[in-house]
Amino acid sequence: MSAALATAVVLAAIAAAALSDDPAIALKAFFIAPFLNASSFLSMLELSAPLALCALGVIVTFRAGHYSLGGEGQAYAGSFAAAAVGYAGFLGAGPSATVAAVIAGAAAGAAVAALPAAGKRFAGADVLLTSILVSQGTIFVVDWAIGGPLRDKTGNLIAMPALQRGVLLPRLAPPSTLTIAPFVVMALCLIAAFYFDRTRSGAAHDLYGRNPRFAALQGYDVQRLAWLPVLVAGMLHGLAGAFMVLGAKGTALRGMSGGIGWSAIGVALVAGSRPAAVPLAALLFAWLDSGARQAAVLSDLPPDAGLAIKALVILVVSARPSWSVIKASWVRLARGSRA
Amino acid sequence: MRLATLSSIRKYYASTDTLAVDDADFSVEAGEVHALVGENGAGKSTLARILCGFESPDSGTITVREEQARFSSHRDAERAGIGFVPQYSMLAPGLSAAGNVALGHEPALLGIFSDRRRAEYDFSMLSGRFGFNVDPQAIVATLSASERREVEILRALARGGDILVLDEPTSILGESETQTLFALIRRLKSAGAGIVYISHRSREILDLADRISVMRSGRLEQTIRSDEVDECGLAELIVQSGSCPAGPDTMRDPGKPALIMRGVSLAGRGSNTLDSIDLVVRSGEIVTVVALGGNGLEALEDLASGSARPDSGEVLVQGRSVCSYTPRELRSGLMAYIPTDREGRGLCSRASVASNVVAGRLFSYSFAGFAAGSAPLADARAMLDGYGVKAWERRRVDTLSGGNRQRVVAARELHGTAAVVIAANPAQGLDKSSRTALFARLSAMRDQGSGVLILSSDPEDAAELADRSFVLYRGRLKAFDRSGSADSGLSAALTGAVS
Repeated sequence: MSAALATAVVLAAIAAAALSDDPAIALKAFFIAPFLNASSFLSMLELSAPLALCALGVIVTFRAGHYSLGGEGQAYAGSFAAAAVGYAGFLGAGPSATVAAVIAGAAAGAAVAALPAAGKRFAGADVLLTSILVSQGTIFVVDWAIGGPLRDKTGNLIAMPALQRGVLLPRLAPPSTLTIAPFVVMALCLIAAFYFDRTRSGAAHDLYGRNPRFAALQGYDVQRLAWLPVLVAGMLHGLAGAFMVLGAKGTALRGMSGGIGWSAIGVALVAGSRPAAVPLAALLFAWLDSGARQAAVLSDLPPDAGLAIKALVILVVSARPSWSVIKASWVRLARGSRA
Repeated sequence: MRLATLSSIRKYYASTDTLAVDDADFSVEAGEVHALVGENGAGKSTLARILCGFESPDSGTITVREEQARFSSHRDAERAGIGFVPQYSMLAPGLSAAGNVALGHEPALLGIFSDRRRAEYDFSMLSGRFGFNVDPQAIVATLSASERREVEILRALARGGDILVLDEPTSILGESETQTLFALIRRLKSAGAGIVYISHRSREILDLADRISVMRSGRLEQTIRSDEVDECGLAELIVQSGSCPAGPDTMRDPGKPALIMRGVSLAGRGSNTLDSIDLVVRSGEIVTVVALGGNGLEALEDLASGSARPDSGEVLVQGRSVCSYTPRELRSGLMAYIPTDREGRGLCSRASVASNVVAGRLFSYSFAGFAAGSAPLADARAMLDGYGVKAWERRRVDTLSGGNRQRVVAARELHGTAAVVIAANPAQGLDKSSRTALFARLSAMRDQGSGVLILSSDPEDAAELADRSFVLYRGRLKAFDRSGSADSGLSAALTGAVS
């Protein structure tokens, strides 16, 4: 991993040098600015929490051999449900309302995942296809609800009305947006790591994901493994959506999931599908997001260039070149140039 | 003319601290079959994979037609005219047989559009030319293990190289497919091709090979001409403690029926059709069913193991329908099962060796015992003890040689007791000593009261082990009396020459 990170930083520096008149400032803004004050860092930590939860969901499905691509819709549905329950105010504006909103978000994510899970369980339908179809449909419905009947008509944003302060997760270190969410996510990641590495069910889950026919022959409950991981992943995505609403955003905005389902797949890949590595991988993504924004503000680097550098770093880190591979590439390059 | 030479080849795997090949010199001439033999894990497959560009040697040189070669991938080796038939399937399971053979060299219409019909036509021509009979449109995942092996062979031949490396090609082929392959090898040899042939079967090595090289612990010990050694001598060269095994000992009194197949039929399934099979395997006996490919042996395996239901008739284990048991009930001391399809059903290749070995007893551990991690590892050690798999603790199954993979399956399935043991081609990929050890273990289970059903495409299994033997021909089962028949009698029964 050290080789991958070093390569990523070198390539990012080259890209910044090519795109900016003052690459030193651009690079400082991109890589260092997010760490320059505590508030930026803690907000970045908060930003990483929903991403890590979604990545955990991706890992739960991938390690069961299901390639669910419906995370985006599940997270968006979770955001919408959490905002709706929080706004409805059945339980007032205290901790019980917050808990109800969190549960609603998780349940909504699970509900969106239920159809692909049932399709897999009862008809053997490919989760990859069904999850993305249901997810896209859900995005349209939630877009309509937020932009239509539930829109806050007093504001300019296409968003639901802002939730009362008491419904939101308490801020732990103002002025940063840090809440309890990153710590809940870290705990969940550790539980997932224990599940996969140290429990019989986790071992069966892994073996099923790698070879379902083998798992069936060993007497594992393959019917349950065909649907339960998909549903649990939906729940985790929904929970991530709820944390977005109850944390930094304060309400449900149209399009607020912003590609989180896809980024989560990247986080899961960078983490090597190991739950314990997810918080760190999500923090890397959050750092790059934050860096891209800071570079756009503090330097002459265009916003799209910041995103391109982010993509470059993710690409290199995902490919995980080792020092020996890098050395071999240099030797080949040197030989080629001599020839 | 020397087609390919490997000189002073060394290959060390740091991740598992294994010296797989140690200073090996090997060559293959035009118009010869050069057999590479040795115990499981001796380094034969690694040496073959180096010749075929799948692995890079740490040191040493590869020379092809007197020019030094450096392969960075198998594609480079293919370009140099080296075809490879791997020991275990490297086919894309979702593609058709023709699609697999054309993979990477797909015919295209106007150089753009994939020409599936042309690929199927080419496949049919190739298949017909070399005497195979596989449906070009059949999806590989639906093919039997022996049909998949035929597709592998056709894929290597389609590249048109004059060096062909065959890694245990007959381990799951029936007698007729094996004879077809041998005829093909002889044709290729007479046309000037050089064949590297890896196998544990002494008889077929002596039938085919011109030269034999013996590997032991990564070193190439010696190369001899095949007429310098007989079958037992070759076995002793391969395994220093090897010997020609004796047949089964005296007949014993079997107990109650452990497995009953009564009037079992599968209709209209082509080569998997079965016609009113009646078979009883009693506790304390070994029953062998031998069949050539395409006579229903795989269907019989599926039915006996409860993986499929018959159209009519019933399969009973300990007096209850096999399909009425949950898989977990079957795994709990009721049935041990070594499948023919080792890679697809017998192993989880991308998991660790330990995970594979304890997979069947996963839920017998307590929560705390499993969480601590020591109990499964200790069990894996105990179960693998005596099977001779070395340096397995940090390895995934797909890094093991084929023979060692089969040992892992056997270690898992034949540990402890089981009312019924179903072993389908149990000796595939095993060297002589491992085969003897496996058969000894099956005999011991029989003596402990298990009813053992061996389903095999290798007539030697019937001769060596069975208390009772049957031949399956075109979906019909016939008892075969070993005492009054020579090998030729069994061959005649297998091919339907006698009723």
